[in-house]
Amino acid sequence: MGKVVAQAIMSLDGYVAKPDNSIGRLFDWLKNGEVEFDDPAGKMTFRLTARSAAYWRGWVSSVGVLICGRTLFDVTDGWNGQHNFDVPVIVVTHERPAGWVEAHPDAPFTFVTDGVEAAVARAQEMAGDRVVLVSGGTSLVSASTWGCSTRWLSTSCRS
Amino acid sequence: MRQVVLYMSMSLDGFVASDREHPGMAIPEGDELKQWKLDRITKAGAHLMGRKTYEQMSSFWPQSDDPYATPMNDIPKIVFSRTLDDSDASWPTTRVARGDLAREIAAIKEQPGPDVVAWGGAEFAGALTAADLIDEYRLLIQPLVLGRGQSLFGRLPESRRLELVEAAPFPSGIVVHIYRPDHT
Repeated sequence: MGKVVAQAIMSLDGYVAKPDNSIGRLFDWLKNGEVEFDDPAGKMTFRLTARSAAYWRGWVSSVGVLICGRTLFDVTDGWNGQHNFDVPVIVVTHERPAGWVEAHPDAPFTFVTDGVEAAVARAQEMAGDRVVLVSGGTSLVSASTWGCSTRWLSTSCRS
Repeated sequence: MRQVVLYMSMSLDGFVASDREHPGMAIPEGDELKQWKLDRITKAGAHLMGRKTYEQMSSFWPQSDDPYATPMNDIPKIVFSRTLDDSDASWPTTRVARGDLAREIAAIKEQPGPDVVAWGGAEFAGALTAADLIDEYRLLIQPLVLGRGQSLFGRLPESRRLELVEAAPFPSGIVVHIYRPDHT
């Protein structure tokens, strides 16, 4: 059963986004290094420092399923049907986005409407022994942190 | 010019005080981190603190036989307060700084001697931080999320970049992050 890891790119004082969901300079580290890294979906090339690249490559390849909330899904428009990590995505939502599903018939996206715990259980089944990444997104991570046994991943200091 | 170095315990989510738990008390720091801090604090030119922290420390360290007591008692203290009387600042040796915070800090930095240590309180450290008067942040990041509390950076007028000097994990799970302001 997949280990559940909450991943966040976070400021020193604990913020993961501005109130309007924009990320400011938080993701700049993905483009200010000298080592090129193509994401598994082949959509973007990042430029990381050597140390970050080694870490990020290992992390990305460990992920089997990604869970996100409806806010992140809407902000990214469901990554146009394919997440950069090229893994199945489970969206926790109250309502399936009807038009989006029809527009992206091949997208490996599952919409779970019966809560965070159900979404995590479903993700762990799908992930097998790979990692379930809980992304986003303060409400989802908060819910799963308190409700389930979530391992935190620090991307800053212990790599 | 000598530098102002802030030591402060902070939860992973950025809080330096909370009604839930005290970020500096909740998790035992362990012998290794204690020695790391002692090696540095012992060399300080002065301890800087706000009134509330001064009142707590001045009633505790003179009676303590903890290894921290020696540097706390022997090194001069400067307490920042507009209301504290000299007669209530009797922990040897203490000077009360009553003037404008930025001017007082500038005057301290111009005096000769080793770097000075600033201690939180969220209020005093928050004021120093907002005014950009800290030369080096030594944040002791605790393996603890508080969910709510007072932020060291809550009074910043805008976001600010820091330059990472060092990050060192300790066996207690506390990670020391050392930053300097990035004024470039």
